[in-house]
Amino acid sequence: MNAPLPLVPRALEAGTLGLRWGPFSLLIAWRPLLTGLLLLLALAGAIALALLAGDTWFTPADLWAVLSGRASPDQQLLMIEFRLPRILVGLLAGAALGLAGCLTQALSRNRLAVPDVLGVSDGATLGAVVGLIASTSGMLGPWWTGPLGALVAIVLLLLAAGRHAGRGEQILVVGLAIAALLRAFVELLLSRQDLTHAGALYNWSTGSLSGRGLDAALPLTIGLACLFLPTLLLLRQLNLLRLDPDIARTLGVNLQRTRLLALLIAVLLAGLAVGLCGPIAFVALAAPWLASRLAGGGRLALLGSALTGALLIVLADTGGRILLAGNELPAGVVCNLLGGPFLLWLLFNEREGEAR
Amino acid sequence: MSLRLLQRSRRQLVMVALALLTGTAGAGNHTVTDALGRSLSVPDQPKRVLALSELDLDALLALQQKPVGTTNGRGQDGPPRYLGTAAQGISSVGAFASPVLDRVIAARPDLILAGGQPDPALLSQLGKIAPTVVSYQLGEDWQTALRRIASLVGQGAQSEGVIAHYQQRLAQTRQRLGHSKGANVSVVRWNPQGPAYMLKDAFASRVLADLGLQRPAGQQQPGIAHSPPLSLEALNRIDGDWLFVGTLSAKGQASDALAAARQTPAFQQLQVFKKNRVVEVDGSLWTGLGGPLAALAVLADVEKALGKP
Repeated sequence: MNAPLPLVPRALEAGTLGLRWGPFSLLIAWRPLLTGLLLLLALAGAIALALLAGDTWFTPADLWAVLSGRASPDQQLLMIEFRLPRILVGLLAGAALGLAGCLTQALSRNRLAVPDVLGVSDGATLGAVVGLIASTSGMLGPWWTGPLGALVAIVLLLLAAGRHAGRGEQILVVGLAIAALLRAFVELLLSRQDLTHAGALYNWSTGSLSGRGLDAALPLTIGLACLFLPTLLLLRQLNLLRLDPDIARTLGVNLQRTRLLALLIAVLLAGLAVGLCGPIAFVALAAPWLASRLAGGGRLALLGSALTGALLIVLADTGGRILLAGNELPAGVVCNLLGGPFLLWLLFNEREGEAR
Repeated sequence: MSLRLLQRSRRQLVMVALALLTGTAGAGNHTVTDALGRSLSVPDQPKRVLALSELDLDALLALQQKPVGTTNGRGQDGPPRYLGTAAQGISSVGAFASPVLDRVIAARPDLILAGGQPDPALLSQLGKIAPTVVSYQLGEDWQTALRRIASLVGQGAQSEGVIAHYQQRLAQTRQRLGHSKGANVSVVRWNPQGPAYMLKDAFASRVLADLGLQRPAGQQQPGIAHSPPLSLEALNRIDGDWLFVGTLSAKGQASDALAAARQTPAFQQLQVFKKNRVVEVDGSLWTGLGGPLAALAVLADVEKALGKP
């Protein structure tokens, strides 16, 4: 877990494709490219499955009929109006969580440093609870209460961590403390509330995608679109950040600034996802790890993490819809069910030298 | 699988065609305003009503209408226990307060009753399947809800008959109370976490008030739900002249917890226990949102316990 491997040479070993155009040249590693394509294919498969599966099953022929507009209104309604939006929301939330996890893991050089640990989920929950209490209708407040809560949590984190904010391990511990504090506030507020409120919160707090529609997809899309470009610009520095801090510094990385920027982007992404869909654990933890395994661990698997995250949530939501007849398991619950065994598996499978 | 689906959809198509043929004569649509103040166009004589809350289901059954589907009762695996055979054969479209859209579509409703406090996102999805009416808001009494539901399903007149029957049973029960008139009645739901008493505006509390019965001094807070769970130290707040206590499901954690609690000194110190006036009732009936049939069932429970033969 301690000695980071020289990463760049390994990427070269894996085989690269050189593209040259005038003074520019671009090295593309084969394996990440292939993995990306495979993940895309798997995602397409998962989306198709999610469209077909449910309490009412459809055949691929039905899907084709819907796509070509020849299906019955019922099929059209179920697949396009009900299933597709929640698939879309799950996909976007998964991508955001995968990306966010990849960033926080890279900046802290610790695989356990995922947004949920840093207090993002608890901040979002607190935001949602305050929104719920402030609303007179007894329903959840506007969509931005969750993301705003997540942002507040991170501002608190940065204030509390102070000078340590840039350092990897400390931010984890401070994050844990902030998360516990926020969770206590949530419990306190809920215990003082009318219980009818608790019911409205329940659906959200289990990470259910049920009923999530395009109104949730829009902020997620905008958030992902706006934050992905800065992430790509940070990619070189982030790759170096995974080396020893001193080496990274000598290679010209502004450690403090890179970490802060990456943290901010990660929190915004995770805050949006969690704020809109409820706390969905495990995806931010697992997606980057799976992606880097698949891609060979050469470089930071940003895109792979996003794709894997999307795949995980779409599959979890689909599983939740078909596991129990007539009773939907929220995606967040399915993820929690899988998260425990996954962590154990991670622990037992950790091979020396592949720790990071 | 696909063949069955195909057959079913063909059968449904025939049914729709039939409904269109027979329905066009006379039956049209009219506009109503629901409990949330939304205006909707609903059929004059709905034939396939879906009841998405316990109170909707109870009211429909009291009006002698059988819904085409319903969601499970609070903490139940099917319709609320107290409805018994009346609700037999009504298919479930999902767990409590969370209908599965696939099943809602398959039930082919022409009117959906979604009383209570449905999620706006869910409401707009249901509205794409059939006209979806919020038949009551939480906090409204069952009489108001019943009148609205009756007028929605084109049986406005029948609701008065149902309410009159309740009034009559109420008068009978009140007469039989004898020396228990004006007694302090404690109403408690036993959860796995412990007991919670019902607040003053809860369904059962209102029926008791109709009977002229009192609530213990510690159970007078306004509200339609129940209190937070009490610790065993605060158990004396469930004391009273009578204690009606129930769990949501007949078996399981909650009823085990209640059975265990009955053995504790804290419980056995209660006056109501010493006087042997602890009545175990169906929690899904006494601590739910109620309805006309539930109100009659509560009267029957009270009569059985407090009434003189």
